[in-house]
Amino acid sequence: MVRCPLKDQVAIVGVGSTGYGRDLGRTSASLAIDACQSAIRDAGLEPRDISGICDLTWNVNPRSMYMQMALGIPECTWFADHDGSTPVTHCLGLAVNAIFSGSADIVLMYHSLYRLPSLSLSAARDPFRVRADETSGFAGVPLRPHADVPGLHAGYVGLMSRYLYESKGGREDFGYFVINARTNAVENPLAVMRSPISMEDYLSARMVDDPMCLLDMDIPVDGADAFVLTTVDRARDLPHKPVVVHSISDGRINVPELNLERMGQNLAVRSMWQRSDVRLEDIDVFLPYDGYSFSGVMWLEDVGYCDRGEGGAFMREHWSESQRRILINGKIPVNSHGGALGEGGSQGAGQLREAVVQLRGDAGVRQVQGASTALATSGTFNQNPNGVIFRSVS
Amino acid sequence: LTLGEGSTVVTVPDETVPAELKVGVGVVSFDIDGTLESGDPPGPITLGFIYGLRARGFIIGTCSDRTPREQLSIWQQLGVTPDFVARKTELAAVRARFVAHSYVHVGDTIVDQSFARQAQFDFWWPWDVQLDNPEDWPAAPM
Repeated sequence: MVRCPLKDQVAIVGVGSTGYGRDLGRTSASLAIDACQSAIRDAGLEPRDISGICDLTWNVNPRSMYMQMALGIPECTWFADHDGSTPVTHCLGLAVNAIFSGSADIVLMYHSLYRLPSLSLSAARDPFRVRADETSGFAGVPLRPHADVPGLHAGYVGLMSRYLYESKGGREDFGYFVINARTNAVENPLAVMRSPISMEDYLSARMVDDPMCLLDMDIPVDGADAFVLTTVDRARDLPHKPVVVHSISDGRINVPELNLERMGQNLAVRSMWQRSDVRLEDIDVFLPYDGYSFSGVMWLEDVGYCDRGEGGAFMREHWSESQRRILINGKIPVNSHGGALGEGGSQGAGQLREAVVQLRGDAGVRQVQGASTALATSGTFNQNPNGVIFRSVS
Repeated sequence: LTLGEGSTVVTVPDETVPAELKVGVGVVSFDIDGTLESGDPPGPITLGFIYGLRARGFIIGTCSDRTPREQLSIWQQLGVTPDFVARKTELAAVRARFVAHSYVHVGDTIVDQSFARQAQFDFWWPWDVQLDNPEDWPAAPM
């Protein structure tokens, strides 16, 4: 066991989302404000109660200073702005630490998405989106006029190929994960893709960069999510059942090569478990990051459900043919909201939201009965993975 | 999906559908998202324009990154029975199924353009289609 004084000390008490769409006809800032106002209301608070604000920068996410002014938050004693590839769970860790340390009592964190020309060919015709992309410097990647210019996904294709080579698996292994996502998204009103697919659909989808096909990649969307966090003591006075952060960790290593046995993902999970009283068998809801299908499969392996390269066999073993989705041990869904491959690419924001909604018992037809513990991950590869365990407390 | 008795819909490729050739004035294939007004995001091509092409004897359908099942569902919502639906990579198979004087694909991305060229289809951007003068289109494809 590793020292973890912040265990169960900080809770998520408010969530807000605009829902996702291919073209919501609004700016990223407008979406962010909408989600933040919803999250503050959901927490039973007012903007004047917020004392910290955290910007989960991704493409054209508005900066925290702008949002503080727009939302009418008078004073912040803590704020954080991030550039580049910063997944949501990493920012959750910053917010939790800020509250635990006393830098702020109530923190608002938000994440706004915008379907940009560098992410979506169909967005390249929209002059407003082109202009937004020119000013964003998305993820530190040089600006590109179109999404088909080799760039961001190249490293992921290499990793995917390496995975197939070492596991001696086939593309069907990823197909199960994608079908699962699309099935789960059908029941999520916030999701952009609400039609199920078959294995034939997956295997015949357009190949983008072999072995990565169109359906292996998350869906560029417009939308925003926001979260309000505070101390667990304060949370007990607020309207919703508090969802506490039990254990959380980043993971980054100093070797950028494609070694599947030693990656940031391995470290993030190992560190998360070392700080946790909860074990894998206690998890009721599993929400792995799935910006690419194979990263979701690898998270399945990393958290300990099976060994490296066995994800495909594991999904087959735990596949519910009647429900067309993964149910671990017949009861634990994987990305019950549809994940980035079904709901829309959110750099992990969707996973966090679903964890909170499930542990509150507010997931409607998606609800996992009696859910009290959730495991969510975000990021991938070596540079930005994270893992977090949530628990609901009375 | 129920396609209706006597439907000429073919999903390409589909081994179960008889491979008889259909003859038309021309074949016009549409991308969906960013191209058709019913796409997500919506594009400029209207349902009325498609009706107009059909009335002039054109063979019409969609070639999209959406699955064939999704494409059929979209057509059903529009109340139109297309002559074909196919994956974006299958334009060549569409060409092999139909006999016509011209073959045109309308799409909003350079991926559409690339697959159209591979299948020897003329290619049009949807915003260049003469929606207000459908009787003359596609007289001079770009």
